[in-house]
Amino acid sequence: MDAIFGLSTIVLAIVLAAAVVAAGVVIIVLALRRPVLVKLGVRHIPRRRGRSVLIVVGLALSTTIVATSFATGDAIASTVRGLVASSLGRVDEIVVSYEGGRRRFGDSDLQNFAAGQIPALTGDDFAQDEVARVEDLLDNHPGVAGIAGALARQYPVSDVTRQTSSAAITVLGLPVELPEALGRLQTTGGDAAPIGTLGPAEVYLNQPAATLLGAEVGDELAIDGDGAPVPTVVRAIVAAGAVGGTQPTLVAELGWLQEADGVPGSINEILIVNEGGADSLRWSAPIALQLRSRLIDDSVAAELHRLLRMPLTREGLRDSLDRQPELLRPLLERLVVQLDAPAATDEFKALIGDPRLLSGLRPALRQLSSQTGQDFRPVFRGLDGLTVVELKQLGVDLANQLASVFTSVFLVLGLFSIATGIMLVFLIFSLLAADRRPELGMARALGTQRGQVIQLLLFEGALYDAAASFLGALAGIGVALLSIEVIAGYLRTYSFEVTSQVEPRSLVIAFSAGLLLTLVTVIIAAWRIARLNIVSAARNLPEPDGETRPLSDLLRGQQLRAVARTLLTGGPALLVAGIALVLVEASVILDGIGWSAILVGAALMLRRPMIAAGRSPRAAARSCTGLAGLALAVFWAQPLSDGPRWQAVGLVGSLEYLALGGLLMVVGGVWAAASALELLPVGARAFGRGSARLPAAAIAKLATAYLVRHRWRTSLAILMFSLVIFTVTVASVLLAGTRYAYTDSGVQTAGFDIGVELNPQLLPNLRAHLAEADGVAPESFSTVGGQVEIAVQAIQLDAAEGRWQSTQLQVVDDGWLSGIGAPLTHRAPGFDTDADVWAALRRGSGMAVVHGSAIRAGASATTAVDLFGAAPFRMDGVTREDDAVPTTVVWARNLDGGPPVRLTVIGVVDARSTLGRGIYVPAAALQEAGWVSPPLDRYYFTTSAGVTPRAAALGLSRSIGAAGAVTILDEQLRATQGIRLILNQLLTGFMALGLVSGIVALGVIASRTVVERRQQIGVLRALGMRREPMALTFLLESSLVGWLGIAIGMVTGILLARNVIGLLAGGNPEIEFGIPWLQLGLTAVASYAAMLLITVIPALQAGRVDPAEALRSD
Amino acid sequence: MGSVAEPSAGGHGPTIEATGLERCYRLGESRIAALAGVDFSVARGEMVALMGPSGCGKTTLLNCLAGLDTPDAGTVRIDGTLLSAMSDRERTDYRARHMGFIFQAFNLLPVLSAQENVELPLLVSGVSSADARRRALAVLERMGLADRARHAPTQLSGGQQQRVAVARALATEPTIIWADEPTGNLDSAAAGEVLDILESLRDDGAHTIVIVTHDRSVAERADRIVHLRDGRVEAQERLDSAARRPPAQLSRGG
Repeated sequence: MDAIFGLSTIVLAIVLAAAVVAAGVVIIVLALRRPVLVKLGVRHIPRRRGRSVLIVVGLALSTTIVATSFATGDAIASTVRGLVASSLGRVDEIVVSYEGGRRRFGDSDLQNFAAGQIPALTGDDFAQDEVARVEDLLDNHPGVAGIAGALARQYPVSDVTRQTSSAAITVLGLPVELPEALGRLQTTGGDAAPIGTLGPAEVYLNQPAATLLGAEVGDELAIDGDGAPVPTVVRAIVAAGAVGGTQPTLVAELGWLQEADGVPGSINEILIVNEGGADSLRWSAPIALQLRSRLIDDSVAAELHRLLRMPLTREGLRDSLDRQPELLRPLLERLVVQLDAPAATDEFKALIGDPRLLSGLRPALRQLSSQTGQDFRPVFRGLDGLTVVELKQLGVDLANQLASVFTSVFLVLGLFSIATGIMLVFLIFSLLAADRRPELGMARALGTQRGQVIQLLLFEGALYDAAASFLGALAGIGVALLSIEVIAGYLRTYSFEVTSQVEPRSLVIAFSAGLLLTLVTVIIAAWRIARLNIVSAARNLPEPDGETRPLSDLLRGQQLRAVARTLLTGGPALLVAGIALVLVEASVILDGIGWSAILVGAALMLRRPMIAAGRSPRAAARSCTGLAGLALAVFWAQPLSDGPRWQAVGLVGSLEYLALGGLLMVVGGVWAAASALELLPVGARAFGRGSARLPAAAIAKLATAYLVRHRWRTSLAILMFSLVIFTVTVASVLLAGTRYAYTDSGVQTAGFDIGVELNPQLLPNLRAHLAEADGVAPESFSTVGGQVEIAVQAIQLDAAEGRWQSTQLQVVDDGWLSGIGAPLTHRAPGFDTDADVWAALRRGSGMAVVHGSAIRAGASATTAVDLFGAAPFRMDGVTREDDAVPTTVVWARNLDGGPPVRLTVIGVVDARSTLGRGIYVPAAALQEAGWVSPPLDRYYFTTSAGVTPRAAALGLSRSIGAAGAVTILDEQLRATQGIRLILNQLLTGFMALGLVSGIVALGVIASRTVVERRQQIGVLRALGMRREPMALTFLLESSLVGWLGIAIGMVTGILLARNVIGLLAGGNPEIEFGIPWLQLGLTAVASYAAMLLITVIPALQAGRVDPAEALRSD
Repeated sequence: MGSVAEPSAGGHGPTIEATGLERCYRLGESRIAALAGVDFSVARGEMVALMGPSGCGKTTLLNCLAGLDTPDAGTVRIDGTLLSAMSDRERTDYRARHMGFIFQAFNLLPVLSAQENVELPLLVSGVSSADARRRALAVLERMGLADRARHAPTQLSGGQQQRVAVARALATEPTIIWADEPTGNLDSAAAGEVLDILESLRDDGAHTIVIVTHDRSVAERADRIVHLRDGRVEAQERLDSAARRPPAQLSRGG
């Protein structure tokens, strides 16, 4: 992973490591100057082994969280990089052709490629002579080590000898004169396997293909190409990983394959290998720049430059930057800069020749053309043809980006846990110091300087810190590797090899970050502890009132109390500051903060009127703060609105706003609860009676009295616990939303079993072909449905903002309509069942249904936009939450002109279905309107009873050959979405790490409480309180904190998750908000049980306190 | 100083009887004998002062007598019941029913009001909340603190705090009251008030009172003074009413 949060990881590692070394040097110098302080500082460590271990574990948690985040990112990066390397061998760039506006190289290709697929398989054939032209254009570029043309196909292959077959094996034709730089094919025995030695109809089979087919040398194979099966013989089994990569591949001589495939003189890829071996990537950019700028025609580049410089396009491009995908954004930023130049530069030409950019530019330009009436078609044609893809670089970028995203997500979610961890470190050190207070007081009395006390504590803390950071980093890596192993186990079933490798720099960052974080906390804690009152410390008496109480200021909340006092008197100031912030309208976040200040300020200003109305000042203050906390929580719980302002904020900005809101919601909730703690003793009075065995009233009174009395400590504990419960809840609800979206494969595949993407130029009529072709019997399928997507513009005349907006028409045939199994979420009045709706579509007369993504769901900040910022069509008058859709008239027009067609929408297809977005309309309806719809290019099949989708898919694959790609829909879904779900589970597990922090924190607080209250325990025991009720009192006290934390964390977590899902649903309508009651219930029970488990030890200690001894500590 | 006398008083028979009490503490490597064979008894209704220099074992003896601490050797009988034969739970319940404690530092729970502090031993022994509140108020009233019932301990003077502590000790109507340096933290006026209360309790005849003090003037308010030195009873002196120091002559304890 190269970067995190936009910072270079190398730089980060160096800076952090330098800081650690500097800190280490300072500590060592200090230690050498006063060894006696080191001795005093560390002598407790071996004496109290159990506690030392607990401290190290507690301190290690933050480091573990950081290390887990980085190690997971690393593993993902190394896996993707490994895949790229193994599927490409030494190839760095590849030249492919996309003629005639067929499919473009886009994000999905990148994903396929990351999964090991060769991009040539989706490109067009071109003349072999182009290899020479490309060589010319590269003009002896110093970075080029070798160039070769190749033909790649994916065909079903059978092993006639073994009677086995596989539906998809890459058949790769390579020239006899293979450049040395491309690497050499070697047999599994290690012998050279040159292409030139292959006899006629002889092939090499790579190891994965041989394993798949069970093939051995000398086996007779049959390649099921477009024509009759081509017989071949296996000359040798070659090792995977060189040319051809790790996917099952059959390597043949290029000329022979061209003849056998009926495309003499044609290839579909030119492989380029860079100089520099392992460092070859540094040549990718210059080679791609030179080649692209020379492949694009100057006049086409000039025309496109002119078009993009128009104010409409330029502004649109600039405004849409924030909402573009990560991989595209840097390219677009460079493009925007190039538009400042008066004419097309080489850089500009290289950019528009980039297939990634083109994939976005093309549809956006079409849309614009139809909007402005300008004809961009000549430009499109000029952009067709050969293009360079820097495959290896893209793969590495993708790997880094994925890794960075994962690490960032983990770290951001972990921030709440890290915050809890820091509070925990502080607590632990306060606890340590509380034990040593008399000793420190004596040391001060004997002349030890304050600075020396800090050093003494620092030496102890630094030792714990170093051990904890080391342990934490190791634990983090362990956790990450374990989780990766879980994913790997799943992915292996899809022959997707996961490699887990942790980079040293990640280790350095995790270790150093954890160490520094803890050290800073330790220094602050030590500094505050050193400011003790000598007399009271030496006699172990409480710090006198009126002086600072450094020992446990945070716990006692002196500063916080001062802040609260200022707040209470500063209501008007807050109100004014808030109004000013809101009026400035600087950003949504500052606006939100402004509104919070207004609400809090106004609530606090109610204090005086309340006192005037006869309430006591104390009660009035509590009511005001309670109200302020509640107002804060309620304000941030509001979902995002659907206004234009939010659209400008974009997804990331909106998420940041929501994350801050989540935090403030928790703070507000805890604040309100802390102000209402007085209600607890009131509730405790309900325990009217008890017995000596269980004096319920006494237990309740004591437990609640301490919570109220130590209000700030109670609030801090509730805050810590509710923060971690909050993160776990948010994760659970979000996961439930994605689980809803991605686990019902029946809905996602709309009831179909097999999908075929067809090239209609090669196979215009699939049905007729299937009726005649070998390989599959037509009766294997109960339904066959055809579909084609047309980019159109649509308008709803009665909508509030009626204007033409881009969308897709999913043109479907009769077979599709009779086989569709996707549920409708909304139906128009008069249609009682889904079948009624589909039947109405089949009857014709312009009936249509829309995909769930075409109706409004939640905030639309994430609505996908094209390169010029245009949003897609959304229907007005119906939302996702409605039960029915009104019968709505929508007009659609073709981007290339032609008459508009009138469509009556009578249903909404479940947003989870994956058959395509936009408007579903029968082919017949379009013909009636005079449209010439393109030939169907996607087919969906449902298999008949007794026929497995796998067998049917193999037959289909044989029968269609190179004219199409066959997929088993369910398997495809499981492969991609299974990974998504497993990653989600991992995330939940990761959140649980934070939960450990929270629980340990409560444990530390509980044991600290027992230490502090020893003497009072002695009194209670003397008064006749038995051990068990004594322990129960402490348990009840911790439990009340736990219950409040769980309640606040869960409620705020659910509210935040609802808002996040509302936001995400704008772009991913398949995700729906729902509360996973069972999971949340289990989380609540489990975290409470864990909390009980850890607080039961100090509680029992409280019960075991010897009264005589406790009273003696007087 | 009055004459040395045997402990028995007024034919009531002893209610507290300790024989051969030994108690050692480990302090690092060395062992310190806090009690080295103490024989001691208190009659019902008697008020006894345990006196001696610092570290002579006064508080340890009190803790062993009250069942807060367990002696290493020897026995404690209260009304004939052997304390060492009781389980911790039985001893705890016994304390709750029959004993009240007053400490030098008052040891009121700072998180509870005066009244709640007094209610606490009642609630601990299972009295209902309403009953506890009523009885606590009654005792506070007896102590002249009815108007301070809702105050937190920190809002009360030292003398008031100790009177609350006395009220707490009396709330469950115990027969034995243990007072460990009850006037140690008080000025002479406040100390006098507290001792007056203890004296009046003794005069009721319903309470047996053991006071630990190193202040002669406090000890002289008792019926008998037991002098401890190095963990042993050094001497005992019985004070007749004439020898008892009048309240006005009390000096501040330290």
